[in-house]
Amino acid sequence: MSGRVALVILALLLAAPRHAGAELRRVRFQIAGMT
Amino acid sequence: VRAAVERLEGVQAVDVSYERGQADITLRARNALSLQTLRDALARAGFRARNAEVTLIGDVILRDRGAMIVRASGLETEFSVAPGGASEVSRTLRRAAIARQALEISGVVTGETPAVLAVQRARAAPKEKR
Repeated sequence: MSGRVALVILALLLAAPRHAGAELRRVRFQIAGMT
Repeated sequence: VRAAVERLEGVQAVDVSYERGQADITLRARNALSLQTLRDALARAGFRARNAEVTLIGDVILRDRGAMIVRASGLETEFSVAPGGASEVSRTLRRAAIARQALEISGVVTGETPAVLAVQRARAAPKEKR
């Protein structure tokens, strides 16, 4: 039983995104008017 | 410009200088914004966004012939790492790719498709306060 629980936990760990925080943090654009 | 960008979910602060021709955008943790979404918001305000300096949290993936890509997995966004650059930065990227460690990476994005990232700095991603 405990082995099955361990397998489920392992599967959940593998399925989870490794880095939920992967993302842009700061952006500096060079901008120009389009008029 | 500020109003157009600030209304996007995930934007923390916007600082625009028309004299310098720059828009600085700070994003909240766990945002899902892409460069294209930000470019589109600027375009709606009447401005074209050219090169972008970015700081992102992402994974490094090794490809054939020493090529590397940076993936911000929350965004499904990929940047090809521009060849060259400081060797210390290249080593940091390769070590992180092998160790599957997330990095905080700063650099300049040139081009849009495919987006190429000239990496200037890379370090271990800071731990998030959840």
